[in-house]
Amino acid sequence: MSSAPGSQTTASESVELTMDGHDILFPKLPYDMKQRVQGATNNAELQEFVNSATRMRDQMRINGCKDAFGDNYDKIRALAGDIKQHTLDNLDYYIEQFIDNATAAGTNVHYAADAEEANAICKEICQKHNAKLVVKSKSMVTEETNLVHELEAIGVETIETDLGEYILQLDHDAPSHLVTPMIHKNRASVGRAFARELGVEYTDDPGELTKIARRVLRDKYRQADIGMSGGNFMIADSGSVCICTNEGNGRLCTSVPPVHIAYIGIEKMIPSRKHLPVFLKLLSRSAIGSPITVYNHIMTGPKRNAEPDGPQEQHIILIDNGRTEVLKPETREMLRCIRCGACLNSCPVYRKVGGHSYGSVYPGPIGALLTPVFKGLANYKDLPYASSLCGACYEACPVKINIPKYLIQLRSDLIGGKHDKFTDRVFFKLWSFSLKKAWMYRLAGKMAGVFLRLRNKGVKNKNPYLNRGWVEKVPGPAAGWTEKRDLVTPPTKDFRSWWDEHQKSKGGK
Amino acid sequence: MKIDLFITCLADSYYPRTGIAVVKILEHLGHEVRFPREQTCCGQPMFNTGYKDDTRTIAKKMIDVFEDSDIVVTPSGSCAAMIHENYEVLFENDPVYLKKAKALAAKTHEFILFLTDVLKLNLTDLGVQWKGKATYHYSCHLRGIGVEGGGAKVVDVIKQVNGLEYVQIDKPEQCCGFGGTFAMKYPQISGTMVEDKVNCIKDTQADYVICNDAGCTMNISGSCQRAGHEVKFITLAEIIAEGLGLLEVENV
Amino acid sequence: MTRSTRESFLSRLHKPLGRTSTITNVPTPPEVDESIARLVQPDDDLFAVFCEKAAATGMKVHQVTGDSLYETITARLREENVRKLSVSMNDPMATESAIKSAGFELHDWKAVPGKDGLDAQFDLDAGITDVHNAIAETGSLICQSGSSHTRGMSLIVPWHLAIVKKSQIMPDLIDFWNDRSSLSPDQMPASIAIITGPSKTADIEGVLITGVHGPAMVDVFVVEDQ
Ligand code: SF4
Repeated sequence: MSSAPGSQTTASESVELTMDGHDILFPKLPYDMKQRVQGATNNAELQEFVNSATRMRDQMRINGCKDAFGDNYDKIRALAGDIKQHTLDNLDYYIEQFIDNATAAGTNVHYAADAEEANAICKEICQKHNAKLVVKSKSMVTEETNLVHELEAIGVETIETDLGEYILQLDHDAPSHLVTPMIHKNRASVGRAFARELGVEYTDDPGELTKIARRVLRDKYRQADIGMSGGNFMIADSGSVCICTNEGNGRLCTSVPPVHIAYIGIEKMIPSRKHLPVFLKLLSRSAIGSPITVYNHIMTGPKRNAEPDGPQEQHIILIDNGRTEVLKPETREMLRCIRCGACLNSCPVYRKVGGHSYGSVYPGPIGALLTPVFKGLANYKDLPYASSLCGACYEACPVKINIPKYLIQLRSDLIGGKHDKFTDRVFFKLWSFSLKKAWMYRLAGKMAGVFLRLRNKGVKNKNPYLNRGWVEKVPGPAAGWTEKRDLVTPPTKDFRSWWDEHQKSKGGK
Repeated sequence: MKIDLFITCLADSYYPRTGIAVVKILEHLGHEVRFPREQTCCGQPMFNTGYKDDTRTIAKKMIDVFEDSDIVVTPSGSCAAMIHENYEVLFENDPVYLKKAKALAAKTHEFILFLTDVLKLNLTDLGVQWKGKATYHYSCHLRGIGVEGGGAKVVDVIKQVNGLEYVQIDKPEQCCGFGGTFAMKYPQISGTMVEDKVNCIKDTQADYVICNDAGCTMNISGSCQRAGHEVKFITLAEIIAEGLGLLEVENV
Repeated sequence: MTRSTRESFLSRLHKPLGRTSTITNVPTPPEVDESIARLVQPDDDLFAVFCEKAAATGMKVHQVTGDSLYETITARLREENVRKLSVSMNDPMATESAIKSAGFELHDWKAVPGKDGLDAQFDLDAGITDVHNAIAETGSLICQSGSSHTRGMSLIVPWHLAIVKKSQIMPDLIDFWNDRSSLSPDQMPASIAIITGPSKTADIEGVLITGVHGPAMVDVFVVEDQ
């Protein structure tokens, strides 16, 4: 397999998935993460692939943000977080303002309580226009509602136009990242999918593949009856929708076809146009380190009478689909998310397991928060624990969502709902109890030490404060530990012993 | 200054030499060090697993034990972060302990940051002289006390040690995969994370890994041991104490 | 299935917000603190900053005078073997006659209105536009829809040539949005595009490719007007 200059990584066939795209994002519930993770962690190639791509983007984020903001990096994140939090705290006000302004601009605003309602509205619009072909740009919320499958089911051909999403659609795969959806796929699998589905000659050259996609999709824009988009931001004081893309497909989908439908989750609101630059400055830098996305398209209503072109009809479908559940004070902060993907790129766990391991539309750290709240904690018990709580995501997040804090909150909710194992509960109860008194704590420590030293090996030092050794296998709750590493044994004397001697020696002086 | 030491449960039982070093250094600098003997653990393992109620009892004990302290110094960034970030969360609905929790956080310092930020010391000026080729492992929870990912701030301090040959590790900001409960629940992921870390350590060809958090040390050194990679784990406190002649140089 | 109405939809929001109806007093959002968010100051050398940033995005920047503008443009068109192109700007006369007299085939997009008009633009080699503003901070071009502006000329054509007057350059995105903030929704153009570079993707193995859907090339002619 050839590797074009500038290519970051190459990977072989083994990166490919055998599961259908739909099952990846909508697994059987309750979701068993561990099983899927097993596959991912055994796949060294996938790991290396995702690992290097995400690390590179994380580094680009850091460079881009530090170059631009310098010491103000933290402050502008705080500002963006405050603006989003304020908007969420007053979301009813801003939604009403948005509806009024969008309507004044000539937009039809629709309301969807859930996925079913959103898709029903969309299908009605399609049927009203007798639509045969829909072109759409990338939108996570349409993944949530499974829109493409539903439109296809009523005979409306629906084409994803973001290159990554287009490839995934062709290959019956599913996105694994918020920003770079096919981060888990290599060029060979793209080449094969193109040859198979489009009947073109096999090539794995990214430039050639892109040209083929361009050719196919340009015809689709011209033929499409309806263009669909998501929305990165809704602006309350003007009733505008802003979409941010690098390829230009978003702008084409919202400019060429005669009808535009935008699917937008209610949390995408910001108060005013004056606030927009803060987010435009942060979004692309956080995602890939570039100062701004190539195309920021701010749309306010359908084409005006005097304007020569643009959609004659614009529909905005405001979507709840679980968001009002997250809006409760305990979890509201999670809705600040602007889907930049920085938390995924910075996450050492995501880097190892990839996006499909999260079993939902939203992967990575933010997915581990949103999915259990959207879909029921009991259905996604594994997710809040799939983190080492290292805090890299919180450090990267442009709107300062304290992801580790909320992961712990969800763990605590799981325990409150008695979803923990009985043995864990007893273990932590006993441990906590032993910490109530220093003598009990010390006794427990000593006992553990004696037990561990029974299997001791590799002691290198005779100093009683340093004569640690190793155990290769332990039973019980710590068994997981020794699957991958040895367990250190404590030295024979603890700090307290030294402290007592130290005090004595000082007293003796 | 009167300084109270919070040794932390892991350092107490597993890495006592770190505590010894801290005491010796602070006494060498002319401070009075005390060790409140009723202290046990900050409660982080329970907290991170989600056992908030159990943690609350432990946190209360911590707060009570150190209530009369002027300054609390601890060798662990992780435990310091627990007090700084999470005690407040625990006592959201308990105004009395919330106030006390904030007071404890305000006076609790991680040892190295205490030297640099509070005592404003420079290790070169102090005359720390130590020989060895070492890299540094950044422990993630330092983020909770204001040290950015990768730990450039600590590396600067390490470089103040005369004679120490510092080697930069790759992916310094990437977690070693410990995460307490996480390592038990997801041994595969945690395992691949620590393997990644061990490989980065190998690549440095350093003889020492400076690692100031006992949790990370247990994880990474255990994995090095499993992989058969010979490298010594040491804390910066031990290096300083050795480098000032307060501790004998030993095979750690 | 009964459909959500504005009222029923909003009542879904009221519950988690802890109220039964929408707040009536206008909330005060956090101000955009310019000491944090502003990246280019009004008294910076906007011309220089714009040219540098625009070039960094992969656009070709030409610094020209009013006199050399058309010469430079036609030379570039020849260089790229352009045959057929169109012009979309407030005052297209001078540009159009320069193009025609240089021997290029000029497409009159105004002659084909609506969707068909855009459709015809898929066959052009290039499009020339003016801009409504330019942003020094990011090297961006602002292209708005309007009676004399078709969306296609900065979007559908494979090559977009934009003419920027020095006086149109604003320091920061903040300035642009402050400027557009007082327009009522119906006064806003249906489309404001902030364009920063040629169309890009890195979807396949992170390899950067330009020209996936939008123009693969963008040339900017910055006119130093007096
Ligand atoms: S949680 Fe933060 S970092 Fe993650 S995608 Fe959302 S905005 Fe970006």
